[in-house]
Parts: sequence; structure tokens; C-alpha cells
Amino acid sequence: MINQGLVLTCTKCSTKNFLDPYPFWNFSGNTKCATCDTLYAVKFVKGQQVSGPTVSSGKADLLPGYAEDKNGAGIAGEGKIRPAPQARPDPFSGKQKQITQSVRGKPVSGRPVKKEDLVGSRARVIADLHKT
Amino acid sequence: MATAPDFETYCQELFDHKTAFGKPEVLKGYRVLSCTQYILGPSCASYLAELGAEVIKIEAPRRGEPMRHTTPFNEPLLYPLSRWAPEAGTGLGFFGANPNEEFVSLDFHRPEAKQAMLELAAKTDVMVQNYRPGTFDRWGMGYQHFSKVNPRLVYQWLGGFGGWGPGRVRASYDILGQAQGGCFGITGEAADRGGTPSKHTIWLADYWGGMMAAVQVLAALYWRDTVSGQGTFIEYSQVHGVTRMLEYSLPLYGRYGVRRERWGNWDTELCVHGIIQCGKSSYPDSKNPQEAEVGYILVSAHHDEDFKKLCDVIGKKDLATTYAKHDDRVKAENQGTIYDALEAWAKDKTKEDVATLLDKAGILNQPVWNAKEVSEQPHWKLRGAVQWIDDPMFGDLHHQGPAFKMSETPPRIKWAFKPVGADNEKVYGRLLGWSKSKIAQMEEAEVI
Repeated sequence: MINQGLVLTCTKCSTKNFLDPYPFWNFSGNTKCATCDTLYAVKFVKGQQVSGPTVSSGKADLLPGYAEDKNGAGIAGEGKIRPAPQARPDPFSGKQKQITQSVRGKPVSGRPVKKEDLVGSRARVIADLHKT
Repeated sequence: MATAPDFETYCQELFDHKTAFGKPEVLKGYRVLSCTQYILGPSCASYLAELGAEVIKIEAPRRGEPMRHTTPFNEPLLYPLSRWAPEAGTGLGFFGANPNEEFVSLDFHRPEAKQAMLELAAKTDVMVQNYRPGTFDRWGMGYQHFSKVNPRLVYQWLGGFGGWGPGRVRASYDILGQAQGGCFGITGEAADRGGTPSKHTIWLADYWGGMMAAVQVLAALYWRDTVSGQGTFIEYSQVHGVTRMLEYSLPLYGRYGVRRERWGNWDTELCVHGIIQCGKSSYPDSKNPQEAEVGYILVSAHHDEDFKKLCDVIGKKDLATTYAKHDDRVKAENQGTIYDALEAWAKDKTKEDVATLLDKAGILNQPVWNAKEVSEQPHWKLRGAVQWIDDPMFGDLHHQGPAFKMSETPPRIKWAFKPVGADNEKVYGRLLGWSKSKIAQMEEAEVI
């Protein structure tokens, strides 16, 4: 039987913690509820939940990717959910590699942006890159 | 009188995708509201956008629709989510179903949103939404409500199971649609080779459903613009759409009571006509572990003379004698023997080695290509099926182009997508007359 366990609903506060399959694909350890910090031990093998979630102790090894409270409101903030990766690790070195050019050598986004960079129908960073 | 060019030259000049931006767009002037999520609804709207319709995608404020968060590789530095969360990213799954659209944000639950939607619907030709049955009616945004302010509105609702009936009140997904619609009953391994159903990796029920719905929209626009002057309410069921694809499965069952079975990568009606494994990697020196995997190739030799040639190539002339007649070859137990012999022969070869040998013998074949191999094919690049686009938000992007060509009004890809709410000022200012301060006020209140 396939036990997916994509959503961990907290038994104490009913928060829905989304254990996104990519980082949790092969995972064994603790995660925690984004609202009440209850720790849960879970184990996934090739995307299938093979044990847990059971209430645990210690510290969280990996936070949920996203969470909603019982009213459906998103929960964010440091220590609550896992921040999105700023750049994907290079498959060979394992280090994060900031991409600034496409594989054919033309400029792409790939730099940290601020709010004002994203107002409007054309990203300022791309417009600036085309000027240089 | 000038000589007509040969067909290839004629087509290449007529359909050159590099000239597309100098030609008119067939749906220019039509406006579409896309209140859609995941792939089913978004792909319907995006097909219209590729043909030139002005498609306005409306998403939840701040974090947008769920598809932005459904797949991995959401790198904020490459695909930032929104101005409110520039540190968060959009997943690559959002590609493919949202090109050419304008992106605004709106919280449908708020009273201000209902008024804004009524005003937008009054100025719109088509609305597409794929929420659960009755959700938009409950919010006062159904066809019953919008057709009063705009009787010419074509309202396309895409749902899982339809708007009525005992099985309607569930959420549906592509995989559920394929399971309930009957697809998994015939896709997957044969009973004696595991027997497990196989999910199609691409969200086929969604992309196919979106295309069917787009055809329905065009039919309704034809009815409105050339016959009646009236709008239409359209319902598309994802599950029934899958059932529509089942070929002869239902007539077979209805006539003989025979349930069509899974048959893996072979064919129940033709042999040889299937995919075999080749034992060697095409990239033995690659450092990329993905490229260490073995290859696969399609082989088709179901005619007697082709099968005989195939047996000669693999050095199994006895098979050509034993299974000289197709009626014998196609029997389930014999297919296993034949395909096992083919794979044993291909065990020390790459898919390219096999293709070379089969080409030499005049036997139809095609190595199974991955994304890298498709991307590198000159045929694809020349025809614009794979193209680089200069995306105004994300820069240089490798993207699939439209699959069809139109000589006078070609479809085109202008951009892949934009962050949540990127066009709030443009759309709300231009269509609803909102001032800068009102937009700021709505943003502050998280209505947009």
C-alpha cells in the first residue's frame, strides 16, 4: 500500500504542514509543526512514508515547505517553514551555484531582487542587463 | 509564369516561426479572464493566449496559485514569486501552461473582489475557471451572475466530474482523472510482467482537457459572433475527457464483454511494434549519473517481410520460421518470446547502435529521446518546436513552441509567465479605472 503522507496535519493545532516531496523524498528524522512547534518523527523512502508521523523530541532536521493554519491562512517566517533555496546546488560539487547566464551564454535573471524590481510588466534587472 | 516552389521550400518560407511576430494574431481583441489553477484550467487559457487573446490570469494575492509551489526547482533568483515575497520562487511546473498572460492578484473571498470581478466580466469575452463545482456561484461569480452584466460572455468551467450527479463533489487531479476515467485500466505492465498500472508522467488529462476546453470556447465564440450574439456556459469534466480518449475499449466491452488489458510497451494488435531495452548507455563517459542509464528504442516490424528482416539482423532466423504469420506473432505468449530475444540481442548495444543496424536493414525504429536529446535536434530548432525566447521577466529561456503552424496568423510565445500581480497597475488602472492610491489601498488591505 502506498502511504504518501504529503500533508502532516498537526494533532494538537490542526495546522496542515506540507512535506513537499522533493526534499522529503528520502528523509528520516524530525520535522515540526509550523504553528505549535510540535516535533514529529517521519521516514520517507523514495517518496513513500514508511513510518510516522509520531510525536518526537529533540530538534527539527527539516522544516515543512509550506503550512496553513486550520482556517487556511498561510504561515511564514523564520523557523516556521523552510526558506526557499536561493540557488540550486550544482550536481557535481554540491555547492550552490548562482546562474546568471543561460547555457548559451545570454543573460538571465538570477540575482537577488527587491520589491521595486518586480513592479511592472518587465523586470528591471532584465532591462538593465540588456543595456550593458 | 514562375515555377511553384517545392513543398518543403513552400512550407518553410510560409511557416518560418521567426516571421511570426510580423504577422497578425487571430484572437487579438478577445479578452479572457483566467481564474485557474494547476494545469487543466491554465492550459485552456494559455492555448488562447498563444493565439493572441488578451488573457488576464487572476491569482490569490501574495503567493499565487498552487501550481507555483507544486514542483521543485523553485529558485527565487531565477523565477521570483512576487513583489511581496521576492525571496520566494516559482516552481518550474508553472512553465508550459501560462505563457503570454497578464498576471493580477485578487482574493475572491472579499466583497471588493466580487465587485471588481463583475466589472471585469462586463468587459470580457471569455472567462475560464476550474474551481470545485459551485464555488464561483457561491461567491456570486458564476455564469448566472455574470451573464446578467454581460449576456455575450462565454463562461468555461472545467471541473473533475461535472456540475451534477452523485459523484460530483470531490476535488479532482490529473492522476485521479486518469484513474477514474479508465486510463490506468489500459496503461501499465501486462499481468505476467508485474501488472501495475502506469501513470503518465506529463499531466496528460490536464493538458488534453485544456485543449478540448479551448476548442469548446472557440465554438462558443463562433456561435456568439456569427449566429446568435449570445454567450454560452460550458462545462468540461476532466474524468469524462479521459474516458473520451479510451479508443475502442468501450465498444469492445459493449460488444463482447471483453475488458481491454494493460500491455506495457508492446501492442496488443501488432507485433513487433513496441519498445525494447538496449543494455548500454549512450553516454558512457559522462559524469552525469542520469546519463549512465541504459537506452530504449521503438522497433516496428509487424509486416511479415519486415519481421523476417528483423530476425536476420538479430541472428534468430528460427523466430522468422516459427512466427512467420502475424496471427502467431501477436499472441500474448509469443510476444514475450520475441521481445525477450530482441532485448537479449540489444543487451550489448546502445540505442544508437541498434538504430544504425535497423536503419541499414530498412526497419522502422526510433530511439527514445530525453529532454536533452529533443533539445539538440536541428529539426526541432528549425521548426521552432524548441526555441529560445527573450523573456522580459526572466531573460534568456529555453521553451517549447506551439506545435501547430498557421500561415497568416501564427501562434507565438511572447513570454513564459510573470510574478504574481505583476500587471496589477496595468489591468486595474486600464480596465477598472483604479487610481494609484486605490491600488495601493487594495494592496494594503490584501484584496489584491
